[in-house]
Amino acid sequence: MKRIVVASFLIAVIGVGTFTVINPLSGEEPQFQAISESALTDYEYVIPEGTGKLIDAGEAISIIPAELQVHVGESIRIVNNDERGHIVGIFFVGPGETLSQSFTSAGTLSGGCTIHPSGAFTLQVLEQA
Amino acid sequence: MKPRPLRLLNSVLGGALLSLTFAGVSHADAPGPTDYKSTITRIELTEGSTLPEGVDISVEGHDAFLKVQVREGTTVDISGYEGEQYLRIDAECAVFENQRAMSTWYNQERFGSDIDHSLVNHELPADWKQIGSNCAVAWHDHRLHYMSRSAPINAQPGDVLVIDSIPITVAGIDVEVHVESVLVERPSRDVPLIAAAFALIISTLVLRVRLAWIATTVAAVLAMVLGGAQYFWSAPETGPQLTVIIIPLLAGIAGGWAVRSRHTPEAITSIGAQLLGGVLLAVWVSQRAGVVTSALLPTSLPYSVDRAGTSVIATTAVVSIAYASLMLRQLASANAKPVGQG
Repeated sequence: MKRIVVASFLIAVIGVGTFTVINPLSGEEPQFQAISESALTDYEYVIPEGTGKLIDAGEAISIIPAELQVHVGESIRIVNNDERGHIVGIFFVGPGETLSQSFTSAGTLSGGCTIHPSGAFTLQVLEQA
Repeated sequence: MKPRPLRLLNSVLGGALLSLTFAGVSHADAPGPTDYKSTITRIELTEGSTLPEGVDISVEGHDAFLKVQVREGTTVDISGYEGEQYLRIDAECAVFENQRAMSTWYNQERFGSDIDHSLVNHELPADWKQIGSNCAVAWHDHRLHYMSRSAPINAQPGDVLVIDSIPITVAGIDVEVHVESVLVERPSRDVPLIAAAFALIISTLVLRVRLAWIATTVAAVLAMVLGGAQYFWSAPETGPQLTVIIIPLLAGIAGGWAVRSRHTPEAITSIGAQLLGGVLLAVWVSQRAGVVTSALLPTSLPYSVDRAGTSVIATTAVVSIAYASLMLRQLASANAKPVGQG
């Protein structure tokens, strides 16, 4: 009996240790869920064709705000008509692609942004009002 | 002589303190595991100009740093994100950093650091602090890589996440360094899982023949090899942390002490050393946890060797801690009996 207890303890500790190694802990981050491209959304942004070339030419592009505050249950759509992919925080929208996501939990995320002059984007998802 | 429980407490507290100390020291943002590969796609010069001999511009740490190396006599000026004077290399190879530049503080860490605005002032003349003397400088340029700890949503391996350019001035010539960063596919988890299972089996066998004492030392030696391969792979200008070698070195010393003292009457010393060795190895593993899952690793070894080795060390650390804890419990029971019987 004692050996079983010891073995169980070892396996539990090793299991937790392995899980920790394989799944590094993350902070309080909002969660997202993909939604249909035809669904109505609360926030919609369109990246026009030629945006990448304008960026290369040194123009300041401002399609999205540097900070966006939304609520759980709301959704966002980013339509990329450009010939290159764009990063908006942690959203990547490939050339010619449309990204539609709903916010399923609260939190804050920051990241780079190719469609704001600051080059940064912070998304704050608040609990439902 | 201190009572036995007090010495045990000292041993464990000492181990915890050491771990915390090293965790703090190693907070500086040296190259680590990553899922992104940044490359220089093109270097554009002022029309009609050529760079002097010996100029080398490269990406270090897969996607973390941009590095500029020149020969003595060639000057370099690097502007910050707001056009301010940020870094420079003079003709005598001395490297300087402007302490009043926003970029100096924002570039301390890979994903951007908090800026103490009381230190930043772009209106005053630059406050140059010498940070090197070898004609080379590397810095976290946030235009070089994807800027979030979270994986990008909707991106697939091969997607170009970043396309940008970084202006620098070399010997008075304007240079535009065009860069891009690509998402790289993550590896299979088979190798680390198989290695962890293998280590678990070996550990169990070792426990049966009561050789657990040597496991910590063997794992510490392996950790030193992996840590050494990480330390020497990184360019010195990127600030590789010596803790990746020192922590396993201390774990090895603790493990050796445990082996040496295991047959002495002071068994608690041996158990404490074993526990300390296990804790130090666990700290080392926690600092390198990303090597198991990330696509690109900071090492000169084959990636599968680093992943498998780190998994083996993680398992050994847990087994060492568990074994030492069990020994402590047995010792406590043995000590408690006479009291209970008396």
